[in-house]
Amino acid sequence: MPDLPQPAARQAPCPFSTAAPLVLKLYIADNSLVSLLAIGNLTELLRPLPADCYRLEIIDGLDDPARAIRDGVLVTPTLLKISPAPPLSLLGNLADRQHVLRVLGITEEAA
Amino acid sequence: MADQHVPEGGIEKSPTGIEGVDEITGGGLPCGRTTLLLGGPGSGKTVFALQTLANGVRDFGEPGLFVAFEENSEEILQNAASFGWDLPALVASGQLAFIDAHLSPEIVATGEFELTLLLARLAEQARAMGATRIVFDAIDVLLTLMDDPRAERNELYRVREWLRGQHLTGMITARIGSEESHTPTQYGFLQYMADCVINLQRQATDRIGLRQLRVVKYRGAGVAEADFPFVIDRNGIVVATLGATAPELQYPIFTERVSAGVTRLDTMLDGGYFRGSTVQITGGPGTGKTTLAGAFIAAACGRGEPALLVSFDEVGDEIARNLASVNIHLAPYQAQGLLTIQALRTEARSAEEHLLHLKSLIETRQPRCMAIDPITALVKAGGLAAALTVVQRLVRLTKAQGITLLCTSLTESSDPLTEAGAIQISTILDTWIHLSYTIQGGERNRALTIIKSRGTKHSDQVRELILSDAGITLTDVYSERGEVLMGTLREERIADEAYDRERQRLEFERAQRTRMSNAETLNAHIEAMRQELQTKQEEIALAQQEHTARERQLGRQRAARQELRGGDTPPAADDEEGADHA
Repeated sequence: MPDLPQPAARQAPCPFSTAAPLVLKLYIADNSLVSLLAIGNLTELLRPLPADCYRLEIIDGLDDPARAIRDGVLVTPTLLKISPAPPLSLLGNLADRQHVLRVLGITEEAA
Repeated sequence: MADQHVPEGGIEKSPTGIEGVDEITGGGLPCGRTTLLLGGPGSGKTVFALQTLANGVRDFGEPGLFVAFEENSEEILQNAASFGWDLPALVASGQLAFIDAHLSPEIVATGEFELTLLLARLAEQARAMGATRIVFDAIDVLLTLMDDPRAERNELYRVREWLRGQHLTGMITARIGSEESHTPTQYGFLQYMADCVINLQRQATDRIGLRQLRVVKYRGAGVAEADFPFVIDRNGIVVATLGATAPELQYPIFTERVSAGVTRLDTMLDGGYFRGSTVQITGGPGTGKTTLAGAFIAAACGRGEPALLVSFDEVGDEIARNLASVNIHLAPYQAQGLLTIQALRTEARSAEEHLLHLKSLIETRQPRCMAIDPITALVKAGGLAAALTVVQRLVRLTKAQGITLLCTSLTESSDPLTEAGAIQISTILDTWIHLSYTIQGGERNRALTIIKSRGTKHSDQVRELILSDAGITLTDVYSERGEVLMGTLREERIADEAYDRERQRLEFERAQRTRMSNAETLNAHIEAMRQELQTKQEEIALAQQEHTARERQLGRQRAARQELRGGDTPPAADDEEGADHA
């Protein structure tokens, strides 16, 4: 696939330490437009980061409601930042790129 | 579900069990539909919703769910503990459940979200409990986080459609009391969306707090359109319906007048009180309330009609003796058996028991005219809410039998409008006369004003009430005197306010019609956008599929490369290696 963009071209240094990597859980519901938007927005945000710099799990809350309750997830999409501390939850389609980057602690240079 | 009312050609209704509300709505809230409870802070929305749930469990066999978006369930249970509903017992029985849906303050909102997951969870819980009623308390707190009116409306629509699909009778409370506190489109939309809209208001006019309830809208059914006064006491909300809404209550209508016992007062009232009407006389101690009650009773007996005088906390003989000093002689009528004077002690019975007692007195004595002096004793006997319902039922009873009822109310201040008790009761009654003192030139005089008289052309002038051993007389007073001017000004103010209210109502209705038509236009837009959205969703899903397929292909190529080289490096390093190669 020679026409695919090369990952190295946009590679950025990882802003997180190996001791406390960025651990994210994204709760969605079904393949609703808002859920897909959140997935798209988040993937776009994380793309420049090296793959071993973060862990992202995407969970359909409808498949595992008990887990969603345990995680205190009320609406979808909800993005949970598990690590580094402090834990945070972000509601919504994550459309405000700058805001989400700031809240997750990713510097704009890294992105 | 057995208690649901299905009126002919109408829709199924879920009774609230709140005194007065089922009467106003003709059976309760629309079953399986959305009811919107609107009101400002402290207007009683949450109390209304909780009470309907508690009654549903206790009296109608309908388990319920309460979803709390603002407070946590502990706070709600604490706040409701003062009501005699015993919510913890209902929760323990598994027929009432609270769902905490309030968000922690650390939450960050980043655009549009959906309630799909919450609704799925609620559906599961409702199914497990067999719940048929559900409350979304202060859902606006969550939805406004989106800061996007269109997205908020989408989610409210989702809730509405979900309620229909689940056959749940839903109540949504929203902290919106008037159009001023919210954007007009939002207010209009909420009203448009819901099948039933109940507005709860807490007004502070004339320095008194008055609560009022109004059914603004009821899709597919007729409702009594009026502001109904209500109180919140230890059993919850009690709405006074004035007996005007019950179709089974057909009162005999009289055009006949009965004398008030004072000639000038009859003139002021255009001939006297209507037979079968109810009259309230308010005033401070010693203003002559009992005297006017006595005059009314004596006039009745003078016409040969049986009469009943109920006096609280005063001995019967004393009343007769005191009235004799102003030339009202009751003793002969008592001797004839025409008049019964019943002296009661307030504390001896509850308001409810007093009512039962009065009922049996009415049955045995069959009076045509009746006076209660003072009716405010009932407030002391059981609180305002109890007194209000007792008076209301008493009024129905006397009206149904065509008995003319006169009640006196003791007010502690000179301005009757400051007395919450007096004004709440006054909304039930037909005629309201106020007595006060005026002090002029070192002389203390009694003044009489007719504040309202339903269906009667009445004098708006203040009169001086003179009590002497010759009897009761009323004389004109001069408007130059300061006190009377004040009284007149007060009268004007009452009239002005009534005029203003009417004007505001008309304005509101006109604006409301415009909003409704705007909402319909919006709805058409929404439908168009929905279709656009569906197309977009399909596009996204397709793009996603292509993307996944590409990724998979790429992965296969890498795996093949790795296998060719016989490499055994972990997959994470693979990317780097790939990058190096590039």
